Amino acid sequence: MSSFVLADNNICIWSSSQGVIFLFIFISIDFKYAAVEVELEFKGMFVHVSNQGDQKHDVLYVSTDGYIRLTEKTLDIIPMRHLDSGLFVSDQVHGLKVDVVSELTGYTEWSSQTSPSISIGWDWKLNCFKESRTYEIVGAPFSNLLLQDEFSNDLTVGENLKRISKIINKLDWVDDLKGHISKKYV
Amino acid sequence: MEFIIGSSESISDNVKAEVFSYRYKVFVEQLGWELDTPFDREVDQFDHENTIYVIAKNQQREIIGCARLLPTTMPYLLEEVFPELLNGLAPPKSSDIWELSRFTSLDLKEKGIPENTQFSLDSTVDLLKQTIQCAKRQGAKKIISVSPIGVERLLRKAGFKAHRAGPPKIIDGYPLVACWIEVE
Repeated sequence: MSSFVLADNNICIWSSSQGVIFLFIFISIDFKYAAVEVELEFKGMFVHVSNQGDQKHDVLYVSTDGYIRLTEKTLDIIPMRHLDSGLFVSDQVHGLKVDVVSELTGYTEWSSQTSPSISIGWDWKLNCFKESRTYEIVGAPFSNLLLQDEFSNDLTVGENLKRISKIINKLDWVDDLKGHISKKYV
Repeated sequence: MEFIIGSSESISDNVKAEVFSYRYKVFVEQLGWELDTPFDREVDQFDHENTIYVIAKNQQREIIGCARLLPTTMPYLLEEVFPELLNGLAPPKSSDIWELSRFTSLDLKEKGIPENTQFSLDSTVDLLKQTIQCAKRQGAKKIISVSPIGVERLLRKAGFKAHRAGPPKIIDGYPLVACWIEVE
């Protein structure tokens, strides 16, 4: 578990499970008035800190309604990693009975290694009768992320899920899924 | 199908005993949850006089589903046992936020129920709707649930506005997640 905390206006602390690492960024000018943007890379993780606009939007935090609010620009620099995947052995959700297995269905979960953590999960299916077996996303994703536009307005629920779906399509998720499913079930 | 809805005090001891026995069969025997519970009945410190139960029975008057509602103004499961599912947010304490837990809809006499299944009936959505309406009558504007990820699918299927509070936690190989549900 890694965590990222903006301790105050000019100190940034980052800790990881491999040990505690502190990064201190001292900005000699008044943080309130200066335009400051910092992008840090450490062990493959990127964190961007900015005081452009509302400072809170560039630091991960959980709103009282449970959402993490971010712009897509900020989200772009936060790596998402595979957390878990599994099969729906039968149609566990909808209570349907299936006699012949024509397709496999399941879920996959991805999250950021930040604190708080961004979570995105979605369902997938694999059509066993198709010659070229491809994994397809089923339905809208599940997430604690609420994307905002450039004016810090929340997107509608529908638009939010649509944008998150596009982000999923940019992830190379199938290889992680296949690897995890093989280990878990074979 | 018949629903029995009420507080622990208003429900007879016999019905509560049936619920705890049913929950044992579902959560301990069927799902394999390792719960610190007496043999043959699944009951914990959150089953007290302020707990509200929603119980579904079939025509033979056998339990085929249940749910548990707790006010967040008192200690509750998510706060006490799984606070990490809130992703760093302090556990809510409000009279208009209730917790949903131990939600299941399973006819144990049905043959061929796959392992790790806790919803198998078409009536699952009805039970969910009854439960959320019950919370609304208690003054809930939001519900926080702690449950397997299947509940997120159910909530969406039933048309409720809901979103997860954070990443799932993998327990006994299966993901458990907290969900915020709007009560409208």
